[in-house]
Amino acid sequence: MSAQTPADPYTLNLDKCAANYQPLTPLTFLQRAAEVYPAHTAVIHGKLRLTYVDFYARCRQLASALARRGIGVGDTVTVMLANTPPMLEAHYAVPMAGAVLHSLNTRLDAAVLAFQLDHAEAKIVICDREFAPS
Amino acid sequence: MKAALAQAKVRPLLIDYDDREFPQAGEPLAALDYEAFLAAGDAISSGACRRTSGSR
Repeated sequence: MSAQTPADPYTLNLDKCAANYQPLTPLTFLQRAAEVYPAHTAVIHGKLRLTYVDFYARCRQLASALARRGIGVGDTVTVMLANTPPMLEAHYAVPMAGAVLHSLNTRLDAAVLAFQLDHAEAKIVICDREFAPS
Repeated sequence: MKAALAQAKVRPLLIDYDDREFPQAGEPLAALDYEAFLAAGDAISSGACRRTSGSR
């Protein structure tokens, strides 16, 4: 662009920033739930009960543990879990750490799962013992 | 999962989830338990989440 050409005003000073751009993410739902309904039950699993404030704390602690293992933006965390508390926690903690959650289908065979692990470049795998041997 | 990991080229860190509510007999993949892994993260007190909301 030459110095004489007036710049398009709509391209100036409108870069993405906190004032004009906020990504919508389910992570804020959990933060809000923990603030507004701290004592409300978030997770029921057998006899286990977790309130939103405890669930939020566990998710953040898991995100911290992932970050300590070097997990961050661009990394993949794979899970092989049923609908259990770690599955819920991974859905929040993995994006909190900036990583991508890769949830395996428990009905797939070993060859397809192996392809997915390689294709996803899985850094961490969390696996229920139910699915470990097969 | 064991067979899939044997076929895959990647060597991810393996974490076992031992469901105490519905115990499973499957042999663990590794020595690292989910609860132990989670415990290695920074513990956050229940009251901390309220303080983090000040920026909004």
